Parts: sequence; C-alpha cells; structure tokens
Amino acid sequence: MYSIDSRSVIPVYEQLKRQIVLSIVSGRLDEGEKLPSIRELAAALRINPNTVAKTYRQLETDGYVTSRKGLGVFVSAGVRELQSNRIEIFEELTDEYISKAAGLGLNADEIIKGLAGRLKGEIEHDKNE
Amino acid sequence: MIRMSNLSFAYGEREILKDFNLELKAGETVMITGPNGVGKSTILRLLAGVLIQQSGEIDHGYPKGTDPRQKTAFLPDSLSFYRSMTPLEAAKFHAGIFGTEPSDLELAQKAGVDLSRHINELSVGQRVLVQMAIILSTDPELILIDEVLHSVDPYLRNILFTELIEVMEEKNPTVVMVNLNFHDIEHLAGRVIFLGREGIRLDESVDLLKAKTRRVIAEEIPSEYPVLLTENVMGSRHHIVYPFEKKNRRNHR
Repeated sequence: MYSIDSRSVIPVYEQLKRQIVLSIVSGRLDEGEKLPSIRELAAALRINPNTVAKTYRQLETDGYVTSRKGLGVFVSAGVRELQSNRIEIFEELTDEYISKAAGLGLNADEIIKGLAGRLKGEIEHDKNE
Repeated sequence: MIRMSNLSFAYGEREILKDFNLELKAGETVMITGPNGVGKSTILRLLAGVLIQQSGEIDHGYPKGTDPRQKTAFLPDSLSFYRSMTPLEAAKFHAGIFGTEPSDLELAQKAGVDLSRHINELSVGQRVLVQMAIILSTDPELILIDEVLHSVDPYLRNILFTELIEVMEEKNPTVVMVNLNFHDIEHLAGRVIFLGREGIRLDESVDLLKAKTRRVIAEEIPSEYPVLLTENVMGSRHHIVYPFEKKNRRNHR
C-alpha cells in the first residue's frame, strides 16, 4: 500500500504524508474511511510508531483526516473537493519529479523536453484509441 | 532522560571508554554504530548495569532507590541465557528475579517455538525470540539490543520487529540498538550515533543525517572531505562523506 524510499532525502514522515494525501485526493481512500492504526502501519513499514503518529498529526492539522478518540483516524468529509489540495499535490509531485530527474544528471532543458515529448506521445496515443 | 557523564571503562589495561558523555531522551530510539572495539557493546552493558564503570556516572532519571536493572530489557550479543531450562522455566525464573508476572511467551509461541524443549536445543533465532519475549514482559522503560539479530532469519526477525514496534507504540520506552543491520532499522531509529576511536564522531537525527550525508564512489578522495567510513562495494570504493557541505559540492560533480 505505502512504501518508504530509503534513498530519498525526504524525511519518512513526509514521504508517508504525501502518499496518504495522494490516496485521499485521488479517491483511493474514501471519505470517512478508516486509516490503519499507528501500530499496524508502523509494523508493516517497519518504521518508528512516533513517525506515523507525527504524520497523522500533520494530516489532521491540514484537515485531511479526523481522529476520533478510541476509534481511530478517518478521512475527513469534503476534503477531495478542495481544489487547493489538488494544486498542492501537483506541485509536490512536480518537485519530486524534478529532483529525481536532476539526480540522474539531467538539466532543466532536458527535463522539460522529456516531459513535453512524453505528454505529446500520450495525447496522440489517446487520439488513436 | 538518561545521562551518562564522564564515563571511563577499561578491561584491565585496555581502555575502552574515556570521559564518555551521552544523553538519551525518554522515548527516543537510538542506533549506535561504528567499527569494532570502540565500546559500543560496553555502553549498552553499562546502561544495563551488567558492567560498572571505573569512573563517571549514569543517571537513569528514576526516583531514588530504583534499581535501573528492573526497568531495563537487555538483549546482549551472547546468548548464554538460562540454557538448561525450558522457556517456561526461564520465564518463571526471570519473573522471580524481577518481581513481575512471568511472560506468557506468546511471541515465541507465535513463531512456533516448542516450549517444552530446553533452551540450548533451540535454534539461535528461536533463542533470541524466547529471550525477547521474556525481557519485554517486564514492562521496560529502557530496551537495549546488541548485535544479535544478524543470526536470526528474516521470518523470525520480522516477528521480532513487529513485537518491538508494538511495545514502542504502547509504552514509549527509550530504545538503544547497537550495530544492527542499518537497513533493518533505519526507519525505526530517530537518531544515529557513530562511535570512533576518539569518541562520538556523529550524533544526528536520521532525517538530518540523510540530508547531510553523501556516498562518493571514487578510488581516491580529496583529503578535505570528512570521510566517515570507506567500504568496498563490488570492487569499487565507496566513501561515506559527512557532513557533505556546499563547499565540497562545488569541488565535486
């Protein structure tokens, strides 16, 4: 479900947060759906339970989830509709893409060309279908 | 908070620690790593109260009159643990010493350990598991794990880590692990300490450590780079540089 990239310089709580936000915004996690318990998620990913707790706290502060005492943590209602969330996610994905491409030694021009070519390819592919 | 101040320890003539200082925050998970013979296991044994320092002090932060050993779960690197007993007998014996309820050994049962056999008839991995089940049952505030897990197969290791994570989540103990395989615990530890012959060479949160460390693959590396360690990986030399700063970055690449 979720995974941690050991080579990434992005802290684990942040990696986890991005993945959960993405699954909420994309609808893979439904409104009102329960997130795994801290213990389950920490054990499954073999990460410190404090890290998961930190992720959940931040998700709650940002309004993505609501924690109900004794019951668990649930996806907040109405969160998918927020356009600002989509933009934020898109910006984070873009940052991640750029930093990974730069890590391969590509410069800005090459990154843009690569992305544009790929997008064009996809659009043409769609037309053919 | 646990405070180790000005600790010195020697085995006869051989000085292992000199004026060693370290503070551990309650509830943090720390990994201590470094080459052999720099005193990593000694630090654990001193914390566990199995060895006593020649000078200096350890303040566990407990109320006066508390024996720190009663609040410590120690998994040492050698398993000489109640060999001639069965796991159930060992659990009872251990509980007697610590004045606690005997472990139900659920952890060991889950992993399919035959509890009627003597401990010295079990595999190394099973022994580690029995020992872990027993020491965790004493409700420890401090968990110390030495380099034992490399002899435990991945299946049992996974059971062990799951149990450890559950205890961490439930009781929030302070955890110190020595020299375990970094990939096993890199996301479990919040703080890494690298011990060299001259003492602590690095003491950093895992998040910052990753941001500040680079692996440079080169035969020779300029002497101005602070190289933490060099290892041979499939015929090429990898230098772990820490801290990797901007001024270095300009020279490189």
